[in-house]
Amino acid sequence: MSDSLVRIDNLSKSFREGEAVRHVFQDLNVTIAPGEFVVLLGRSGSGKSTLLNLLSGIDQPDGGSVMIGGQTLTTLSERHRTLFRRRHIGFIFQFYNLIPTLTVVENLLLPLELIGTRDSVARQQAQALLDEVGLADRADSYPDRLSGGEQQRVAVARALIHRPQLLLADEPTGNLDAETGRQVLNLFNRLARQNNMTTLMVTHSLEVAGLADRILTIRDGQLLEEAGVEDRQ
Amino acid sequence: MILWRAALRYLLRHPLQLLFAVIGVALGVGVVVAIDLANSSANKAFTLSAEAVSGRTSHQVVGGPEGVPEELYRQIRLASIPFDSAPVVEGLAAVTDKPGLTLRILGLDPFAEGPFREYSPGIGRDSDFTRLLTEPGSIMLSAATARDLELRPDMDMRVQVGGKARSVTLVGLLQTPDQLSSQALQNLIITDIATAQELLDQLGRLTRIDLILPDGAAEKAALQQLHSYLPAGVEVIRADQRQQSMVQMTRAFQLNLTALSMLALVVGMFLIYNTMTFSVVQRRPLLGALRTLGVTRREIVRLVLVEALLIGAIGTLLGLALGVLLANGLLALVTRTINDLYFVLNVRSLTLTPFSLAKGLLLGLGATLVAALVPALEAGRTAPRSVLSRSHIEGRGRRLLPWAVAVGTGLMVLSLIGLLLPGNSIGVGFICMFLLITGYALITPGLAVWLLKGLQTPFNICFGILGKMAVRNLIAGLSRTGVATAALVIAVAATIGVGLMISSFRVTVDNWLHSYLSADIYITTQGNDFGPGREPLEPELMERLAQVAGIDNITRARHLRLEDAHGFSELFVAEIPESSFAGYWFADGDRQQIFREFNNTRAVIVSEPFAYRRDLKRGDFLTLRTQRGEKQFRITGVFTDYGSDQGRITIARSLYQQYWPDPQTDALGIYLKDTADTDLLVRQLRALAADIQQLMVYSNRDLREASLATFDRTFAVTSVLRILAVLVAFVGILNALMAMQIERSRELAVLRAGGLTPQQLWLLVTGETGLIGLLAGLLALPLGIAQALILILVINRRSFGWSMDIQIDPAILFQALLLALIAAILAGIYPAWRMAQTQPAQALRDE
Repeated sequence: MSDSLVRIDNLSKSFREGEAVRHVFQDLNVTIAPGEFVVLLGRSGSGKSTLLNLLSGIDQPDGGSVMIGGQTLTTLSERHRTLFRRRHIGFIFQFYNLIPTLTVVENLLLPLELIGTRDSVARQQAQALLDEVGLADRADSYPDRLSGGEQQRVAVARALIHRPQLLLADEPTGNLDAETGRQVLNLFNRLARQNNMTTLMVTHSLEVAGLADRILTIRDGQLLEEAGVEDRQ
Repeated sequence: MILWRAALRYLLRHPLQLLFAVIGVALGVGVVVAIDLANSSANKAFTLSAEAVSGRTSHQVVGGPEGVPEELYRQIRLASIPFDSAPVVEGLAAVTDKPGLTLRILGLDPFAEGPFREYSPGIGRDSDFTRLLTEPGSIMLSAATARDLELRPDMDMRVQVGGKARSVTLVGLLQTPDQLSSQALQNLIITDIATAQELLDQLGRLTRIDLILPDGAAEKAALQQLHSYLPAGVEVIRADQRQQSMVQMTRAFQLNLTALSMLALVVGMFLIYNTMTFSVVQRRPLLGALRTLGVTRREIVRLVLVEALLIGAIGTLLGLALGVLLANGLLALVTRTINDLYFVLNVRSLTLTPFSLAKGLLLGLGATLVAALVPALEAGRTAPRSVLSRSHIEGRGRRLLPWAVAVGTGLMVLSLIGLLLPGNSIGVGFICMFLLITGYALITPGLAVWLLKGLQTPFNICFGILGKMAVRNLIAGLSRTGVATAALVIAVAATIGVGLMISSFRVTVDNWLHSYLSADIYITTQGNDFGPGREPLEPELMERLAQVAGIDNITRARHLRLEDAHGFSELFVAEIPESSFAGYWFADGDRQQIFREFNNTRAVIVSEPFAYRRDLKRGDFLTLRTQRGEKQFRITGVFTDYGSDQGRITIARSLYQQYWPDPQTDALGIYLKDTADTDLLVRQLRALAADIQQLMVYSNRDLREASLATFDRTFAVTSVLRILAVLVAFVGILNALMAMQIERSRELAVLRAGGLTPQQLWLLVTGETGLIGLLAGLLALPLGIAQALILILVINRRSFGWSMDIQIDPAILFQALLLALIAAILAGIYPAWRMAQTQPAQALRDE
């Protein structure tokens, strides 16, 4: 499909556990259209995070290919995958993974700097985004002075700041209470849609799934398309 | 750049770790720079003074122990040979009013000097020079030396020459054009030939004749022409070769110091390696997050290397400053040793050469980069997906363990092969030692795991679950404990190796002195350096001594310096009674037969260093330049001797007098009757000589003690280096273990939250660090002993030709064990205290 942003063909991945080999999934196929918000469900250990890692190029599959924005990730060298990732992908983790030695605003500036943007416009952009996530006054704080919800909002801003084509989120609310989780999620949803970003989010929460355009589930190593969100509701 | 800022702030957030790493580099670099500066300053001072003394001289006519007859100079001048020549009389004078200060007397002929030495007196240039010729006992000094001695022209100075009191008058000051010339002339007495001969009791004899010969074919022709005038026992040598021989004398001594200082740097390198590895291990989640954000491997490697370079740069700069400070102290020790063992050298100031400092800078930064390379590459390999996966790291570490053991064993085998191969290279010896150290460091983590596994059950029985936990923590944290333990082992082993070598050497020398010194009292005139020999004893004194009651027997001896193409060696002319001969240790051969041949045939015995340096053995022939021409002497025995590392040839007095018509004596061995009181006789003999000649009178015990004091002085600088290595080791242990415990803050907080009391926490933390200390101490023992063996059997033998008994002093092993243990326990105190003070909730939140 030429109009898809993400295209996965016959993707397989296995892990060696001692002498045995555990197949996480085999021959997965899926496409995601530009601007689509896709949620990925599945039980613990079903391979959701593994799929996210393969999509971002931080892990390599045993077979098959991953294509993002017309670029086949699986044929790129490690270095080129990294260069692709810093420009085109934004990542949000369950445990925030902010850089503890950088202030909030510096955490936002880092992805911009990595792609070579290092001017006052970048700083304004970071400040504006912090304003949007409601943390303008915490720009110069270090992450360990922030609450979990605040840290995750910084992580969201950091993932969006360089306007990546694809946003990947690995249980971004898994570590937050229900209310805070909801706030972060709404923020995430609003900003992603506002910027017309393609999103793939791993979650256990059906509430989160309610926001998605499409729901995919990994079960027994296969990727299943769930019924339409409207139908489920 | 923000990425760099993140890394820099990480360092600043771990100030203790940063501080210890910087101290480690600074100490390592400081020790190397200090030794280098001390050595190069001593060499520089020597070269300057040698150049000042030899000037533009290209060749020198030298004689046997008695120098060159003055007549020869007259003949050379009269022969109208077309090159310049100048007579020189050289010797030493001790300044009576400045104990410990020795000046070099240089007697010159102002008429011949012109082309040779710029500062030397020339007639008509100044009236002071005329006074040198006309007034007996007149001398000149450089303005700086005169100032140091608080002397002005026309003032007298009292000196001791060969034990005799003399007085000289300063008649003028030598003008030096620059600082360098002034430095070259420091402690030099310039006088005319006649005054020098008078002062040194060398009437009719010269120390040497300096020549300026043309280069190339003309040189050969000039030499040929010259040779026809030379009497037996006189030779022409190149001036630079002579200077080279003297520098060569101290080479092995200086090389050993340099190698020992490198050991401190190697320990420092392990410290950097440990710090960087640790900071990488600790930051794996952070590095993983950066990789996920799109930071490339190369950028991560660069980040870690630049961080290390920063530590290295700060440490190196501090190290250079420390090196200069230390060098001031070490210079005195190095100079004293050169004075004790080799030749008189006055070094008043440290020469700060840009080369020494640049070398230190390069070494510090280079060592840091090399040490940080492995952790940097390791950091670059951090896969984004292994974020937070400690088990992944530990799993990898455990998989690498057999490889590390295999490579380590390979290196140790290589080292052993290198050591067993025949050869004399000191450099190869040191390379093998460093190979052994690296090999052992690689197998240390494997050995540690193996030992720890064995300790699990006993610890469980003795300390319960906490004891078991401490052992398990260490095994589980191999990526941290392995490197830390290896670093500790290297550091502690270095102190054991050097300590055992010194103590073995001292015990051997002590035993040798007991056996070798058999007379009850020794009398000698004051020693000279590389000049023609010691001042002889006054015949009148000998007559007086013969009448003293209580003396059973007196043996006469003469100490002379021989100089030939191989360099300098000592000719010891002796009358050795059979009972004393029994005290000589011979490597092989029948002592009685050696004794017979020594006294009745044209044979000599030579010391072990002499035989080693010249590659000679019993039965070989040795050619000596005698007053009757070159003669061959059979070597009938090779004996142990620690008196001189340049080597000693001992010849029977009766044989010596056949070839050198020299009836003089400069030392006596006095054997007393059983009833005599040694101390009383020593006092009596001193009093007896006082009005004739100043002598050194030692009882057997005093001489032994004085010899051991010289030994201790010689090794003072080695001991200082050992202490510095211990210091680096101590800092290393503190650094490694403290960082390890601080990193576990969260884990410890969880334990506290789970009900562990502060006391139990103390016990757990100090128990763990103490256990590593104990383990490192134990593992350091075999490596330390192996290092001592290499130092004794290979390095010392190749450097000085000495063989010695191996003494494994348990006290040194125990000290090393204690060092490791105390440092390790101390390292646990701060983190334990910090954790006990902190609320567990706070610690959990901070993480």
